[in-house]
Formats: sequence, structure tokens, C-alpha cells
Amino acid sequence: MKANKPIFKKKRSLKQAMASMIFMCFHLVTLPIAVQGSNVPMAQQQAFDIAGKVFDPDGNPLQGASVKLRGSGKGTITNRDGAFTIVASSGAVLLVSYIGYTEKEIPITDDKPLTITLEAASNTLDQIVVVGYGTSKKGNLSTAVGSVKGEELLERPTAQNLLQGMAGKIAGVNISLNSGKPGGNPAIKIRGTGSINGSNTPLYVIDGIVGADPTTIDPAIIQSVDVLKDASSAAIYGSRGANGVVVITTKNSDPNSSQIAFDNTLSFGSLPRELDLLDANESLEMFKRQYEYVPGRLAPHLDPNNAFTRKVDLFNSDGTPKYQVNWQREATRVAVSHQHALTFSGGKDNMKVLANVSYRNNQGIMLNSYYKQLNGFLNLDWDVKSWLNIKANINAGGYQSNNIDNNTLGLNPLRETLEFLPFIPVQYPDGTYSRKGDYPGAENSENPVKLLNEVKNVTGRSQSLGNLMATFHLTDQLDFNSSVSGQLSSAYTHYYGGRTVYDVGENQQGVAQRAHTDFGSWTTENYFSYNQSWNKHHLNAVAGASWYYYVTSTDQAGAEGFFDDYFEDNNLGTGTTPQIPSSGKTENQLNSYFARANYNFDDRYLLGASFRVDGSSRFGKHNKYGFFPSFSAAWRISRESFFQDMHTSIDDLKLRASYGVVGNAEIGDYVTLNRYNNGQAVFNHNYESAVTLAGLGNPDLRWEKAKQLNVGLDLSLFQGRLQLTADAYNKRNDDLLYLRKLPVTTGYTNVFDNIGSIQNRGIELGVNAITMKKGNFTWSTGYNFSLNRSKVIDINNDVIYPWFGRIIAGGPLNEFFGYERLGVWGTDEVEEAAQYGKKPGDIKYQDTNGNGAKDADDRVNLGNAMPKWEMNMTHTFSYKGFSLFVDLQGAYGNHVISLARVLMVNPGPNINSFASILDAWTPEHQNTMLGQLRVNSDGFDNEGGDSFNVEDASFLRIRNVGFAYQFNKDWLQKIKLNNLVLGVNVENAALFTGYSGYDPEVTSFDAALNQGVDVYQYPKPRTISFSLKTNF
Amino acid sequence: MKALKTIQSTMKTFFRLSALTVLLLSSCTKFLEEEPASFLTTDQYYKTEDQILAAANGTYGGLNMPFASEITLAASPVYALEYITGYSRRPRPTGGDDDQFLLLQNIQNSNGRFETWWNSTYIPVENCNSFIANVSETSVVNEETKNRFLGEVYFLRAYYYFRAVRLFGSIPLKTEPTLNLDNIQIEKAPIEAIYQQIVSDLLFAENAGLPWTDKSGRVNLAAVKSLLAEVYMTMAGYPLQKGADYYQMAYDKSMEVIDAGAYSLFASYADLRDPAKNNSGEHILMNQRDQKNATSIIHFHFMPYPEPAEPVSVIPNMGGAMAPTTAFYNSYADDDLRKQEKQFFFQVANTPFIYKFWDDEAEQTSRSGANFPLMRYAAVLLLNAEAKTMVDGGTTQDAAAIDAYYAVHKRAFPSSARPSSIRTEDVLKERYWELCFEFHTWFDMIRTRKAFDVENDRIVNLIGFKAPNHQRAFEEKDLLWPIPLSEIQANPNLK
Repeated sequence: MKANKPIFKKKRSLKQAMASMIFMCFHLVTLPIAVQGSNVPMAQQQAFDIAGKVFDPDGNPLQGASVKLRGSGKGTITNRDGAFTIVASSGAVLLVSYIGYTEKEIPITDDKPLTITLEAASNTLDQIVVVGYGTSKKGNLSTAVGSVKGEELLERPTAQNLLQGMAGKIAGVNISLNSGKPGGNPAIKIRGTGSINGSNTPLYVIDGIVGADPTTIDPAIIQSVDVLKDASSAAIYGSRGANGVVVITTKNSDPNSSQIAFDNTLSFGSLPRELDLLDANESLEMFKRQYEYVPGRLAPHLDPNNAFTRKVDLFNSDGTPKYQVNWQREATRVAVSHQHALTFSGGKDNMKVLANVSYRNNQGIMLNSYYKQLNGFLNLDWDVKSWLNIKANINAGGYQSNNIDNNTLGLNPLRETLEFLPFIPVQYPDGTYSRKGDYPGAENSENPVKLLNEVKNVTGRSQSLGNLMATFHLTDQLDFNSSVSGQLSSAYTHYYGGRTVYDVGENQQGVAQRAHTDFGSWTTENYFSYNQSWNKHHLNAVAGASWYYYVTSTDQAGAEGFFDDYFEDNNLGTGTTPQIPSSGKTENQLNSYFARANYNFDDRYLLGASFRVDGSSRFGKHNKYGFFPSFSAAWRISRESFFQDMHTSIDDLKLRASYGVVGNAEIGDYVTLNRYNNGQAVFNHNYESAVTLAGLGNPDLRWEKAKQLNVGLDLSLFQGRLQLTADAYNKRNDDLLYLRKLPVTTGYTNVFDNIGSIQNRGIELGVNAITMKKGNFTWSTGYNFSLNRSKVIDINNDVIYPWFGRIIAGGPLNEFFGYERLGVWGTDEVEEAAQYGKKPGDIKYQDTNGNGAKDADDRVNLGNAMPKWEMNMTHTFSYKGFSLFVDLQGAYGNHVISLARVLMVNPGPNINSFASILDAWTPEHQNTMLGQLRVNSDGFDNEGGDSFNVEDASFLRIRNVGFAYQFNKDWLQKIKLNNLVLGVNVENAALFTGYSGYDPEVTSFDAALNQGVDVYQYPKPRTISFSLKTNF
Repeated sequence: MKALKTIQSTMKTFFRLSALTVLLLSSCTKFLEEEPASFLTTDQYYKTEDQILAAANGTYGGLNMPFASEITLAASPVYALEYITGYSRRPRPTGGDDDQFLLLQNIQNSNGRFETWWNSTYIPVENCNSFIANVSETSVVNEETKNRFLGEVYFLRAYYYFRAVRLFGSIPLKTEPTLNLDNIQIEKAPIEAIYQQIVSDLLFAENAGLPWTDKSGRVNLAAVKSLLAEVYMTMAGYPLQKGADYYQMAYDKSMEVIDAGAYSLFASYADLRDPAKNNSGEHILMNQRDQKNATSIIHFHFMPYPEPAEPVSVIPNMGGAMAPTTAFYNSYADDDLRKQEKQFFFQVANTPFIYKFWDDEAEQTSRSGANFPLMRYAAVLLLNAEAKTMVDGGTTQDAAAIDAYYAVHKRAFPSSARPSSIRTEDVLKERYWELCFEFHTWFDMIRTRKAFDVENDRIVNLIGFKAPNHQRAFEEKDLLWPIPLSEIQANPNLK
């Protein structure tokens, strides 16, 4: 709390709120003692000590197994000999569980010692799933929850964060990596994009901390990730569950054995394929043809009268080039990365501890790009008293990276790597870097290698998070949980563009900037959980309240005009021209009340209902609170007696249905207020304050609501060897938080309003199978398939144009839109072409509306950026200690528009181009899609987003191939090791696609509405990694 | 039975706790209130004189809005106003939106340029409306100060509406601030009503106690009277055609500016570019710019394109926005001073480019902070002369009118003799030559419905004239710009 103090200093109402909250927590802490006193005697009626031992199927004692009394928080852990004792009463039920084994229920009838043998869990139905404010067995879920186990996140050792590790693991959860830069730019979409102006990212919950940052946690300590996909499962997080919830649970230690795990990966990444660009001679051929557009006009290198400065440096006297440069090689490298994770776990008696330090140092394949991250994590779980359990988390760390891909649409090294001329050297013999304009036929721009070396754009963040959660066992059935967590992070950008870098810092003689964003939050969650069982009835209920407070504070300063590059951004005062500094602060608050009840009869009929009320400071006075109910039901047919009589090979069959409403408040702060903009006006070169109207507040603004119906089926066959989960959903976001366009006569261009609906419908299929098991050989397969269709039902008759796309009622999201290119006007079409103001050699577009002119109404849909369907498949073959892993990713029907192609397969390029440009129209070669080459000033003849530039980007990727060897445990014991695994993997091993760019899984902008827009992407590397995992 | 009992007792505890919790929660009602710290909200405003000043300063923003720079190199919506005259060309091709004006081909209401010009009207107008509504009732400042502030803002509202009504014709007339989302789909107002509002706003400003000159560049009395003269001039011509009375009013009003003697023609054209002479002399009103944080796009946008082998500028690669057509350049007499190298134009590779707004300082610092002229004394003089020729039936011998015309003409032709009479045609041609590329020409063309046939050196009817850069002749439908599609979509009443 202390660290948070400055944040609250100014705000009286918050201070009050804080005070009342602390007061409340204090009360709640003191309460249980009284409650405990009144209930303990009853719970102890007919109680006696029960002793027992827990074994694995081979008869070895299981140390660290959990033994709990059902319906109470009481429990213990088995010791080294697998033994335990617990106080129980007759009629109670013991739940015995151990990771990797099926949970067992033992009804207590007397005090005889028990011998319990656990079966290895091949069946994921017994897997424990975290559902938000509680857990459930997967078999008893009535909602759609997708789960990934911790081990699966580590199957691809070069995955740099949780999201990358999750890619392809869960049906309906689309994770696009979108960039090959270190750290990546992964975007997650759970069941499609539902909101236009609101956020589309899911809510992350780490160990009960709502709204945590998933990139700060080392995947090595994650026990499981559970994705709450349908509205019914997410509704307990009502307010922010509209885009799904990702619940992350860290590993639990074994209190009686101390373990040290040390995982290391060393990897080498390289550019997997080069684009087919013009070489030096071909490039000069292109320029020659451009100039010959006007008969007799000579390209600069061929024109004896054009004695440009670098002519002798670049060309022989006959006009042939002196240099042959492959810029894709010059600007990239073999990226050497390494990552390490060290985890200590263990405990004693009533305490379990997990401590983890992880470090990763990832180089990017583009020169000078990197991402470094250091994280520490401490997790404490302590049964302080029989009635009190404390869980404490501390997570601190930071990252730093050099982003070479900024200035996406302007001058950046990725772009110049492709556009730079292959007949110009990186540096001339005297050491000066070349520029593209050294050849006068080309647009001038800076050398990519110089850009990579002399532009610094370092971003980073340090963060710390603390969470304390107390669970009070008020009675055997009732717990009270109270948690307080605080989060602080400080993000920064350090930028410097050098004094000699063209178009970056040259005109200003160096540009330096520093920007900081400080983010702070505290949250508190307080809830009761109640468990009761009688006969075949099981009831579980949760009710509580939470408060969240967030504050963001920004500042930025910069200067230009440096006499030396030495200082970079480290001494802004050196610059002679300061930039206008800026700063800002925003706060928002959220307050929620929630309740959920799950009723289970004989594990046969499952019913659930939840209800949440959320209040957000972001909405208007009368609409702060939103109400989010949900219902679910499931029928485990396989538990019916008639079914069991049928003796099928089906072990489990469950039908599920759920319906619920979740909310979205992810718009900016203060949009319901009338706002002024404070800027400056200039009068005769003097600055004065100027205030203008900035935004019309909409006091009636209320929650966006996502309503979702889900039906599903879970099936388990052949003793769990084949498991299948299928879901179908219909999700509709209503009352969209939408930037409604206003008539500008109001003085405003738009206002946030609740308008419109978007629908996403889809089906998901997940299969896990042990395909073959023969002796020591096992072949297991995981497969998932997702299909999603979006439809805009209504957006107030507005038409929105994202990059190269259009959003219109009745159509899908992510649809590209533009002119249909038919070919090139031929020499026999002079008159027809003239009607459109064109000549032979110019591009011919479809006159869709047939009005004899090329106009905006000729544009048509050009394909969708989201795949028609996507699928992922993993195979693991293991024999004794050897295992082979193959991970496949496929997407079908998705489209990508490449800006590189727009500009580099263009009739008037003044940059290097794709080799295919030489297929351009000539009077002798008229059957082509490419207009006649000309220099830019001869007339513009191209439409960026036309059908030629929207490409089918279906692909199949061998995402990973891995080979691992796990050493024999007996042998390892001799050298005091518990486990040792060596592995070698190839990430992004192969890609099969018709797409002309580097990688079809891409966007350079926000993925929600602009997926598939490739603006000179950072290519994804192919990475070979060597990993070593030990445990001792 | 026992289970039931347990439930009962547990429930009791549960309810007791819940009741307590709810009690505690109710103390948190203020928790969800928003208190922004980094910007002001409307209910906190207009409480001090400094706040009023800052809001008045904000209403000037619309002067620069059309000069917005775009992602495409050397592109800005402001150039559309010259491209449509057909006397300019765009050396750096962009295609699409600009070509519709450049070639007078297939102009569509989806063209983004219209949207900027539309927004450049109504966004600043709303700021004016809000200012007027709040300050008219304030007692924070004394009447004199209040009137001066209101005078500036009334002038600016008139300026914005005058610009828009000439471009778009009949448009919504809104003089009250928007308070909520009720009744926001306003109907168009008749052109006449808009002019009445403009005149009434300017008359208020004329009597608001503004000084004749203001070196800081704020609205001054000369600007008010000059604009009023131009409004009368336009009302006399198309589309209202109020005729001689209004020409006389335009003549009289411009004469007030001339008689006041607060402004005068610069001796040389170089003075137009001299930062020291800004906001005085010949410059009645300028778009205020500064190198530091309010740069001007003009200087670097008007660089030659294709880039010459020997760069003419420190930033040679941003140019190509606009250049005169050869035909227009050739229409200047060879001995016209304005045609001489580095007066209004300069030659690169035997092609004329615009030098009129060249900024020497920008070449030193790589940033242009040059003001752009919005109202020039030369324009007032020529308007005065033209008005009188119209009053007198096409030719006048009025000494004052001839003096006005001759002052401008003589600067271009120092050895020329004072004529004894002038024709409308003479004055109009002089306006083309003198005011070229200052975003005035189109307004002259639509108010007179005349064009300058530069190839044949004569003034002709606008309809049926094919300008040098255009692909076809002007038609009736070209005289007004369409209301932008996006606005019609948001307000179907404007169809």
C-alpha cells in the first residue's frame, strides 16, 4: 500500500473510499473469529481422526497428494510415505487428488485406516479448471471453457511469452503472432471481433488478480490457463468479460519436497525466406524502361548528359553497375537468443513457497533489434491457522526492447530493406553510408543499415505487483475470501534520431525524446464461497464485491538541434530547440457485486447461474451500473443408469447449454463529460493559450452488452483415449460503444453512443487422442478446429473505412474493399480507354456501376482478412525417453493486402521492386496485370487497395518440430537429479502459402479491425533452439 | 435434516455478514465519480478574463484548418481551392481526390477534400457560438473588453460562414451552441439568410471598438470593414445578384479602409515575404504561423518537383503541391515585375514554380513559420476599383477608383501611366495576376461568373470556359461544391 500512496494524495473521494475499504477489510478480518467460535462445536460433533496412505498404481507412496474434506476448506497433504491424518466425522467425504492422477472420493463410515490408490489421469474430465472465484472439475462444467496445461505452453521453447505459447492450443481462441520482432506482437481474439470502438482484448486473471498483465509471468511456472469462452463462464467477471477471460494459475508447490528447476534455451533465428526482389541489373532495367515511357528519354545512368555526383562511384562507363547488394542480407543477421528460468518450490508443514526468476535475452533478426526481460515471482501459500489461509504473490520485473519497426507508414528500416536499390553499396569506400537518392531516378531516403544503427527507439517497462489473499474458513461449508492487490508499472520510450540520418534527424540536427507512462492500480476482491453436499446434491455458491482503481499518468519531453550525437536522449538540455512538453493523467474506477450458484445432482444434472452488477466511472450518471446475468445447464447422459446398461465404449457424454450477458466498458475515460482541449495559438510568433471544444459528452452512455448462446458436447471414449469437445455459439454485441458520426454542424465529428450490433457465430471442435499405444511407444494427437463468421447487424447506417477495408451493415468485419483490376488497356482499346481518361498501358479497372467513369461506386468487396476456418494439430510420438513433437497450423480463406506490393509492383516505382515488375505492360507484351512502367511524374496510375494487391493468404505452417530426450530417472538419481530433458526444436519450420510477402499471419495495425494489413512487416524468423531442463 | 440445519445456520451467518457488507458499501457512492485533472470541462469555464481570452484565441483555429497536411506527400485540402480554378497544376501526382479538381473530372461528394472544408467551417463556428453564448452574458469582464472579444469572434464566425456559403451555397445556419444530441439534424438555410447573418455579425464587429491595426495579428477594424466590403461585393454579384446598390456599398466600405490610411501597399514584392512586415503595411489579416510549434506547410510544399539535380532547398523532397500552368504564367506581360525571377515565380528546369510565399528563414532552420496572407490591402484596392466600375456600368472615370487600381498596377509596371478610365475587365485581370495562388481566385470566379481566358487575354463567361489544366469546360453544376457525403449520411436532411 505504501508504494501506492502518491496516487491517492489529491483525491478526497478516493481517500474516503480507501478509508472505508480498509475499515471494511479490518472488520472482515475480525469477524471470522466470532463466527468461528459459534460454529466450531457443531462441526466437531462425532469427529474422529482418520489415518491413511496414498499410493500410485504401481504401489509407490505418493508424497504431496492433497486430502480434503468435501464441502469444507479443511485438508492436509501426504508426507514422504504417502501418509496422512485428518479429523473427520462419519458421513463426510474425503477428496484425494494429485496432479496427473484422477481425483478420488472416499466416503467415511468409521475410523479405520485407509489405503487409497490413485489412478493415473488419462481423462481430462477430472482435470481441475479454474472458473473465476473458484474451481470445477472439467467433467462438471456446464459452460465452455478451454484449457491449456502448463507443460503444453512449454512445448515450443522459443515462445517468448504466454500468448505465443498458447497459440493454436484452444479452439475458438485465435492468436495471431502478426510480427517477427522479438517479443512479437501477438493479438488474441476469442470468438471474433465484437466491438468497433471498444476494446477487443480479453480480460486476464492471474491467481485471482483481475486485470493482470500476462506478459510479466514466466510460462515455466504456469500450472494451467483456462479460457472462459462463453458468456456464462465469463459473466462472473461481467464487466470486462465481453471478449472472454483468460484465467492463469501458477504452479502449486509440494510442501514436503524441495525442488529446483532450471530451464535453459539457446536459439538461433534467421530469415526463413527472402522475397524475390530485383537484383542490380534487373533494377536498372526497370529504371531504363521507366524513362523510356517517353520515347528517347534516357535513364540517368545511361544519359551521358546526366553527370550526377555518384555516377562514377556506382557505374562503369557502359552503364553497368559496380555493386550487387542484397539488402535483405545486409539488414538481417543470425539472431542469437537465450532464456533461463530458475524455480525453487517447496515448503514445510502448512506453508508452500514458489520462487522464480526468469531472464530472456532475445535478439531480432533485423540488426540491433532486441527484447530483454527479467522477472521475479514469489508465491506463498500458508495455512496460518486452521481457519485461515494466506496467499501472497509478488511479481516484479521489467523489459527493454529496441523497436526498429516504428514509423510504420514512413521511413523505417524494414521498408528500406525492400525498397533500397541493389546497385548501391551499404557504404562507399570512404565509409559514408549511401542514400537511395544517390541514384537520381529514385526517391531519396535513408539507408536501412544506417537507420538500424543510428536510430534508437528503446521502449521498456518495469513493473511490480503485489497481492495478498486471505481465506477464512468460517464454517466447514463457508469461506470468506478477501484480497488486496496493487500494481505499479512505469513504461518508457527513449528515442534518438541522429544528426546525419536523412528524414529522421538531419533537418533538425538530431531529435531526442523521452516519454513515460506510469500506471498504478489497486483492486480488492471480497467474496464468500459456500459448499454444501447432502445425499446426491451438491451446491456451490459464491457472492461478493470488488473495487478497482486505475490511474495513468504520462509525460513527454523532447529536444532538437544537437551539436553532437553523443548525448542521444540522455541530456535533453543540450538540444537548442525544445519540443513542447506534454503530460496527462486519467483515472477510472470500477465497482462490482457478484454472485454465482452451481447445483449438481449426482454429477448428472448440472445447473449454474451467475449474476453480476458492475459500476464504472466511465459511464453517465444514470447508467454507471450494468447488470449481467447468465445461466447454464448440462446433462451427463453417461451417468444415467440406462446409459450405463448399454455398455458402450463411451465413458462420458455430456450435453451443455448456456446463455449469458457480459459487458464492455473499454472506452477511454471521461467520454461522458463535455471536454475542452487546451492548446496554444500563435499571434505574431508569440504563443498564447487557446481553448477549444474537444468533445461532446454523452451523459446517457451505458454498457455495451455481449449476449451469447452456447451449446456444447463433451465426449470421452475408450477409457479416455479419445476425447472430443464441440461447441457452437451465437454471440451478439448490442448497444455497441460506438463512435457515432455526428453532423459536423453540431461542431463535433463524433460522440460515443450505444449504437449498433455485431454478431459472431461459429463452431469449435477440440480432439485429444492417444492415437496409438504399443508397449513403450505412444502417439498422442491434439487437434482443434475453429470457424467464425462475423456480421455487422447495424452501425447507424454509417460506413467505416479501416485500412483498405469497409465496414457496413449486413457485411462481415475485416472485409477488404476497393477497385477490381481487370488488366491493362491494350493498344486496340484507345477510344474505350480515353473515356476513362486513360491510354494504352494504363491499368484497367472494372466500371462496376457502368457509368462510364471510374468513381468510388465502382469499388467492390475484395476478400476477408479472417480465415474461413483455421485448425491446429500437434502430434507427440514418444518411445521410452525419446519424444518427437510436431505442431501444425493451418488457415484457409484469409486475405492479406501488402503495402510492399502496392508500392513495389507499381507502374511508377522510384524504388527497388519485386522481380515480377518486369512483367509490366509493353506494346509487345499486353496480356498482364501491370501497367506500363513510367516515372512518377509521367502520371499517377495506381489504386492502392485494388484486387491485384489483395492476395489469398491461406497457409499451412509447420509451426514447430521438436525432438527431446528425457534421461532415465533411475540413472539420474545417482547424480542426484530428478529430471533431465534435452531438446532441439525448430520454430516456424516451414510455411506453405501463395502469399507474396514474408508471412501471411500479419497485421501492422490494430488486429481487431485491420487484420491482414501488411505494411512492411518484421519478418518472422525460423529459429533453431536447444533446450535443457533439469530438476533436482 | 442435519444438513438442512447446517444450511440454515450458515445462511444466517451469511446474511448477517452480507448486511454488514452492504452497509459498508453504501459509503462508497462517490467512488465512481469522474474528476478529470488534465483538461477542463464546460461547467468550469468562462469564470475569468484569462479563460475568456483563451477561448477567444481558440476561435482563430478555423483559419488554419484547411491547411491540414496529409499523409500523402505535399497534399493538403487547401489546394483544392486553387486546383478547381484550372490555372494551377500539381507537379507531384496523387490521383483520386485531387485529380477531381485538377482535371475538373467526375467530382464526387465522397471526396475527402469537401469534408475538410466543411469541418473547417462548422467546428470553428461551434467554438464561436459557444463563446458568444457564454461571453454575451458574462460580467467577469467590463463591457468594453467584452465587446472587443465579441467583436473578434463575431468577425471570425462571419469569416467562416462567408467562406462556406460561397463554396457550398445553401447550408445549415447555426448560431447557438450544441448542448445535447436533440435536434441535431438541421435543415439548410436559404443563401440570403446566411448572408444576412454574416452582415449582422460584421456590423456588430464593426462597432465593437476594435483598433484599426493590430501588430499581433488579431482581428482589427480594417479586416472587419474589408470583409464587409467583400461580402457586399459578393452579394451584389452571384448568386444573390443584388446589383448596383451593393456594389456601391462595397465601394463605400472599402473606401473607409483606404481613407483610414492604416494600411498601404508594400514598395516591393519581397516585403510580402518579410517576417518583420507581418500583420502591418499591406497585410490586413494573416494566418499566424511560427517555426516552433505552428509550422506552415506552404514553403516546402511549393518546392519544384521532380526534384532538380541541384537542390534548391534544404528540404527538397516535400514539394510538388502546386505550380502555375504555363498558360497562366505566360499571361503575365514580359515586363510585369511579378513575372520576374524570384518575385511571384521562379524557374527550375525551364518550368515556373511559385516563389510568392518563399520563406528564407525556413531554409536556415528547416522549419517554416511564415504567416500566410488571408486579406491583403492590394485586394481591397482592386475590390474598390472593381465595385466602382460595376456601379458605373462597366467603365469608370472615378478618380478614387482609378487611384486604387493604379496603385496595384503601377507596382507591377513602374513606368506605366495612370489611365483616365478603367474597365471591369482590367481590374479583374489585375486580380488574377496580383492575388494568384492566395486562395482568392475561385471566389472571384464564382461571384462574377467570369473567367480569365489566359490564352486569349480576355475575360470570358465562366460557364463554357475550359481552364488550362482542366479536361472540360465549366458547367453550372461546378459552381457549388457538393455537401460532403459523410455529412449527408449523418444528416439526411441535407440531401
